[in-house]
Amino acid sequence: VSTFRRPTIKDVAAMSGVSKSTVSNVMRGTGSVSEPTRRRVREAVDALGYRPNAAARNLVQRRTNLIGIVVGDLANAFDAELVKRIEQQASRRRYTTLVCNTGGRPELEASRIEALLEQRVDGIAMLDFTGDRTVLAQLMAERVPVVMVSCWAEYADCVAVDDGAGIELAVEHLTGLGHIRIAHAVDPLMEATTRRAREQAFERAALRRGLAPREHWTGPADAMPGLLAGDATERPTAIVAANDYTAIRVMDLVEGAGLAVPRDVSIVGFDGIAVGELGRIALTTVAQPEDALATRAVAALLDRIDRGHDAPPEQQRLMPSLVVRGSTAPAP
Amino acid sequence: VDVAAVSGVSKSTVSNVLRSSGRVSEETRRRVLDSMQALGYRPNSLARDLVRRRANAIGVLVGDLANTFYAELVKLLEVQASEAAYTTIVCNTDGRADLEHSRAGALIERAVSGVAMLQYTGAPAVLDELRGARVPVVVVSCWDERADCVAVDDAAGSATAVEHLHALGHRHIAHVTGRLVEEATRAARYAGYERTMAGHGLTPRRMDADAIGARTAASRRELRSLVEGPDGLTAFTAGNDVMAVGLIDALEDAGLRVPADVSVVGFDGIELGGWSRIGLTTVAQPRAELVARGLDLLVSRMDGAEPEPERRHVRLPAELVVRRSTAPPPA
Repeated sequence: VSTFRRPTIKDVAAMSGVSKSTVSNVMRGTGSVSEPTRRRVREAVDALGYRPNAAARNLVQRRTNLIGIVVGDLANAFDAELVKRIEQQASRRRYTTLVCNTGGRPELEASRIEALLEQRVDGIAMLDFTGDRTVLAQLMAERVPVVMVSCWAEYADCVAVDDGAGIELAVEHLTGLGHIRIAHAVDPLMEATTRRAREQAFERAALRRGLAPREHWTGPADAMPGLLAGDATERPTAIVAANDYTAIRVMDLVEGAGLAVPRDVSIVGFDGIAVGELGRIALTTVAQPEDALATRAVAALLDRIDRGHDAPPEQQRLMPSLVVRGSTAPAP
Repeated sequence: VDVAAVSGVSKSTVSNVLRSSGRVSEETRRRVLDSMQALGYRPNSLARDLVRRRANAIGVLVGDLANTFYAELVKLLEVQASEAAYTTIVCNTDGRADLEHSRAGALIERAVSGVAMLQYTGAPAVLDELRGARVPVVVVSCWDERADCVAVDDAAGSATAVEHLHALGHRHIAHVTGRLVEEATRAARYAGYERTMAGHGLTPRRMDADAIGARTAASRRELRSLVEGPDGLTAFTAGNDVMAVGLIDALEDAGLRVPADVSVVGFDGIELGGWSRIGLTTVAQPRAELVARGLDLLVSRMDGAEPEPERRHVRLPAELVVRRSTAPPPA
């Protein structure tokens, strides 16, 4: 971590011995400021290399009160619910939202962000980030504030659940029920950073308990029935899914293949979508604090829009909680 | 200005190149485009909109993104609109007329090229305001005579559901609906149910989804007495799939079996209903076609190809999908 800090309007004020509002008047060319004072402020600005950024942009009335939301898969209820909550929060603060769906594909992500930039959005909330650094670099170059919500990137403001802690809760719950052969179902549409984080957390959690991770035991939902077709003393007895949507698909596929959940195989999801509460689904899951994610994400983004880029990135990890329902049972 | 300096032409020539208007030689055009690329110039869409008066954006008003039917529609619309080089601005209205009105205002401020309403409360002020601002509108998956619209035939769809139950032998069928379906659609689906019941000489009965799905001791008692008491209900048609799935959950929570004791039919055809544990019999809407036709209508208005004020209305057929939430009534 660099100790370099961008100069702020405060530094300019301190160096030139005037108030912040005088600096602001000079930058905007408003108010009555004497010529010597104006010159002193200008010199301090040059000496410090102070660059008024988003804040200055707002001062010259370039604000559009528009926030872009980039989402991976609106058909995934977790994404849709989160978009809805962010939209409501933003609208309360008089922002309109612009929603783009990427399908988790980097080339679509780049083109959608390009479209958002053309609309001159004041900021972007990314619910899904493919990890494409050029995208992030472009946003930084354009000086458009970004917040990552329920996904993660270094050097950006992030509000996300603690993926490692969540997976740990899931594995702990299963080993507590006596499961020692556990597979991991991933969602190809899920953005890469979170997918990797949950995958790695799964491996770590398994290793910590002396459960040898088996490479081919991590795969998409469609691969799970194949894994479960083997010898009953060898095959997995439990599956940790990367999200609820995948967990329910696995449940559907596994039962379609003639096995029973949770008698033959236990399943744990991740997210806490409303559908998981239905009696017929009864999904044991790692629930994300959705309201807190949306509220904090909007607060972080608007704060960044108001204050500009000066502050270092703020990265918040929220704790998930395990909700035990009927999709998990003691190992057969 | 930088672009003009680097390419050695006037600002208005650059602007002509950007808007593909005016007479600019091919060579000049290429020079301008090259310097734009070199400089990383991005035409300011606000400034451009001032000239063209419209952003390359389509506003989408949606009642409830948490209902996957609408989330799936928005997703389809977003994909199809972006293929036609439009960005979408999505606003959630929670089915409230005041929010719908303020969001429509925000979209007008954004100078969107057109507005697609995926749910519409029917409040006339919204349509009036959009029309006053000369913003083309299409209503998709709900119906309004005052606007271009594309929807399934809701009444006919409901009739199909009743006919299916009737053919299985059901005679005591109630219709469950509520605030989760916007008013015009709610009324049309009920009307189709009511007419078909009457056609068979059966008594229609309308119930509120919130009340019977409340999961209180009273609502459980109420459900049981509707089925086991003198009413002897053996089937329900629901105003949409979300309510149908909620109803199945409430029935089972009250100790009733679906479909052994009670059959349930939904409306919409969301993915959830297709999962084997849910297995919802439903009246499915052709989502992709609804969106494609709606976008066609909207874009033709945006291009000015279709003159006002003739309204165009497209009805698509809904299709009954039989799964395992319906069976003959108990003997």
